[in-house]
Amino acid sequence: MDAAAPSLLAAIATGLVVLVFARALLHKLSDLTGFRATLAEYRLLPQGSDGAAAMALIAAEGLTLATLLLPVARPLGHLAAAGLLVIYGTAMAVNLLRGRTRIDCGCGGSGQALSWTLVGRNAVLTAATLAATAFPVDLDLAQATVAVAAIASFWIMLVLFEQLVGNHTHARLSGQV
Amino acid sequence: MTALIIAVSVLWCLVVGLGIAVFALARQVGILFERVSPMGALITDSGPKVGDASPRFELTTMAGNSLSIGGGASRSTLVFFLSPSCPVCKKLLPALRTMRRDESDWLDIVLASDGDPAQHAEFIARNDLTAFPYVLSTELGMGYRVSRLPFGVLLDTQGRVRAKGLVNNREQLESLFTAKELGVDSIQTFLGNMAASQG
Repeated sequence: MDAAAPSLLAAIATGLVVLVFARALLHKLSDLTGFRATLAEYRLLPQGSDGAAAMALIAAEGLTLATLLLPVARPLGHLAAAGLLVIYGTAMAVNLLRGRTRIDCGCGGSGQALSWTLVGRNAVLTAATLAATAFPVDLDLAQATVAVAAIASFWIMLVLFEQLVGNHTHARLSGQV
Repeated sequence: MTALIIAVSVLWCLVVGLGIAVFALARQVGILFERVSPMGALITDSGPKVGDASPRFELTTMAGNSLSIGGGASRSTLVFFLSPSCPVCKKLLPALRTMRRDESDWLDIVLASDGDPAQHAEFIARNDLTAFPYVLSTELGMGYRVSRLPFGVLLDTQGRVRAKGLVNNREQLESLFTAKELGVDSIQTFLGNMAASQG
């Protein structure tokens, strides 16, 4: 029973990261104009390159998603996911340090302004996705059912957490206008 | 053993259900926040601040009428900066048209932009905006330090800036008006009073 634990945890982490990136990709694809505008507001890229950068990020996320879902390529997918999460977290941190706290994070889900909590969320997800590279995923039906239930639970908790962070950020920023 | 499995399954279903319910509640709170306090996704820190008197502008509309902005008027004024090439602006046009009708007892809406008059004339015709005063003025945009579109500036009857910011969706547009509806001199005062009374 205990031998299955790392595999189960790895499966849960993989499932969670897959959902995170699937949501992010859908969010970008469903509002490309908005995403380009969000990218431009980060002010980290040369002027006028937000179109190309947007396409590049969409391609990167799509590739990450595909490799995560293929059992043979999964560890590579985790590394790619970790890389993207670190890039996004750094971009947010740079702007937070610049004092540009009122720009949209562009994370997916309902929009919210930047906050250090989001950077922390990225750090935790990065740790989870890197840890998952260490273990193979090999589950029987019962374990797979548990994994699916756990992924769904963690996903709801993540979405709920982000909504609460967004509410808090909004309340905080509104008091300062 | 079976009882244990059933127990765990039931508990898990409840946990997931509760998680969804709490998320729905948090979402509702978030929507309330959006309605109560104006927070455009990007608020420029430059230009006249909320509470300051607006600079005065004497302009001529596309229809040839003279228009005065910032000097005080019988109704509040929403100056809405847009551009024919701005897709989010176009998304908000239906909301603006509705608002012009529904809020006309206390609000005038002015559309502001800059550039080639012929292009704007075509834009006005194609989008049924002839009822709006439409001004082309570089100095108006610079006076409010408008750098991104769509941008809204709400002036009260004394010509003071009551709210301003980037407007990304209809809710943010409506939230610019909430100060007037609540009858407080500013949302900031209202939120400040709320915070003070909670200690």
